[in-house]
Amino acid sequence: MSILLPFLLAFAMPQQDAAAFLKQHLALAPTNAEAQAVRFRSAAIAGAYSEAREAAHAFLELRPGDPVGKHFLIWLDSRNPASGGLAFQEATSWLAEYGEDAQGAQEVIQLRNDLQVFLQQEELLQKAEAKARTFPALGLLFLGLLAWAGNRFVMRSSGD
Amino acid sequence: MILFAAFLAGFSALAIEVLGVHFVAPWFGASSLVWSNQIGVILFAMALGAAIGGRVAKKHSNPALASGLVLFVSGLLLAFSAFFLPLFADWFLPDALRLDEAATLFLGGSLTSALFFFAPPVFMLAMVAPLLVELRSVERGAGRAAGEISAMGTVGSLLGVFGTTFLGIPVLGVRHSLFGIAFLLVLVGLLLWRTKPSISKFTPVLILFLFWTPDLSVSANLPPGNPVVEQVADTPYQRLRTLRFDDGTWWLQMNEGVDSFQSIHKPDSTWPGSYYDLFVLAPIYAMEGRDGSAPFQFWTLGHGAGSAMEPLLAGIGTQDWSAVGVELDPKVLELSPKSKWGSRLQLVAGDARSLLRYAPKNLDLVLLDAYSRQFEIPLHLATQEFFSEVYGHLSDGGIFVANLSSSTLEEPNQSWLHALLSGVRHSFEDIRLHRVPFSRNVVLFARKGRPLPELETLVRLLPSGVPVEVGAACLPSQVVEQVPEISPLRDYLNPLALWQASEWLGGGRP
Repeated sequence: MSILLPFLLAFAMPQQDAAAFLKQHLALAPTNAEAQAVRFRSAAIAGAYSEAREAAHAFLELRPGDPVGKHFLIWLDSRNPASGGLAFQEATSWLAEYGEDAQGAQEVIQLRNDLQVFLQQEELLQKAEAKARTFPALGLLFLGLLAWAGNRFVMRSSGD
Repeated sequence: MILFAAFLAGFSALAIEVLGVHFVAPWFGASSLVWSNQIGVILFAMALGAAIGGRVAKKHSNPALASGLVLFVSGLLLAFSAFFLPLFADWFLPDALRLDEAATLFLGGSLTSALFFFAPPVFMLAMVAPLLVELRSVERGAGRAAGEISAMGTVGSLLGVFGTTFLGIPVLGVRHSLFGIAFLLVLVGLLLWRTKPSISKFTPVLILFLFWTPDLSVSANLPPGNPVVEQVADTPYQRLRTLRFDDGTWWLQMNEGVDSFQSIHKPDSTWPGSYYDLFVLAPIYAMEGRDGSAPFQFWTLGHGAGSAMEPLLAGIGTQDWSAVGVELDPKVLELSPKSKWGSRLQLVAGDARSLLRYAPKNLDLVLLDAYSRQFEIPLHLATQEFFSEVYGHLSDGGIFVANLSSSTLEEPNQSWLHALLSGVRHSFEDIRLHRVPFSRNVVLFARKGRPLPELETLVRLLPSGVPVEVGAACLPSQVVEQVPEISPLRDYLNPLALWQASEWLGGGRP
């Protein structure tokens, strides 16, 4: 496990403004793995996910097979609602492989919490989607029954 | 009385159709698809009611009594619908959904609401006309009776549409308008229904009781963070709600709310966050190479509560300026925090494109942040002709900036965003999209007559104190400058609604 992990993700964003961020970020050396890790960190924390993804790939090119690089990509996928489910599955297996020994314990806990919240939300959403699919058909049935009952009810008032 | 009953049935059916969409809007929105669901279901219920009403009219010994009974039951059903629908909608939608998650449920939710809650009273109302024709044809003959009943029903429908939009919703509100109609239906029904059981006389009292019950839509689809609801207003355009969070942050939400906002203000901060912060770049881009002597002039189309103002002014800096803010819904301007810029900012209520015709031809900046029904860009504000009109009102080097959804930006196939951007590119010399951090949006910048400044120069051009997220959005990988060129959206050929609907129906992320 790389020493970079806690350094990368447990730290808060340093106080700086957009111009300073931009200047510092653009100055990072493209051929240095640590610089790419810092680039990933600052971009990820500032929500620049395309930039963070580029940094993660650059990091993996410089350090092929380093689990930290893979973790970067999993973390990014978990932030994308479109790939969240798959990413969290990957995150689970990643945690099983590396998580217990990870020095960035805080990050591991956070990822686990995120995973739990995601799964709960997915379950709720799936239930609601099942309702959204089936209830219109029930509504149509209800309207048919109402037409039949309305006819009977009004005719009964005729007294014939 | 017979003609009035026909009038009332027509009035109520169309009022329910219009009010129904506004009523479900706090839960399921009021998009084109929700309108289609409501109109389709109401028409189906009317056809069914007319068919069954015709059968009953032929066989029933006393059509007057039957029509009274039908009006009475329709009023009762409507009152129950207005009371129970919010409970159903609260149960149907889970808490703490994001807008893009909730959007996949809106189609089924609105369809179910229309079928269970609005179709039944309209079905009953549609039974009335054949019964009244039967009743009146004894004296007048079938043709004349049908003509008179049909004419009164149509006049009622006409007033149902206009009266609801221009009087009912702004004066009584959506919920009370529905209870008011239910009350009227029950009263007229009781007058016509001569052999009514005595217990039915208490029905108007029951409806009055329901009228005063709490309105559950006030707290529908609240975002996380336990905000306090400060104000709620129904307008002919939408449902509006203002929220206050613990840290003092103020949100203006429309219709289904969820985690999205129409406008946002943070106390004692220039930066509302999200895409608003990126608007600081617009005057920075516009002022690059500009003669600095004249006041900076700009228009904001879709002004809302003016959340874009502070970031824009941060970019303008010490330069003198004047602005016009255009907002479609006058109630939005009314609910917004009071403008602190005096006569330098003129606020106008009206349609953005119509009013832009009166703009001067030397604006430095035009900002577009207009969405109808939460995530639908108004069709007439997305066409090549509109962008050409904007271009005509900008001075050389002027900037057009727009807040857009990025959902289809990366699509390999043609998308509505590609078509919209192709329309912009047709007029403007240079365009650039900045991805908004932590968001599903991109901000478009298009410049007239000159290229946009290089990204590296922003290190020098950005003023101090701009949030770091804006810097992140200016990184080369966060910027898109090349998009596929396809046929642009045109005033005479604009499939935007269809594209957005298919994206939504396909479970896409609006």
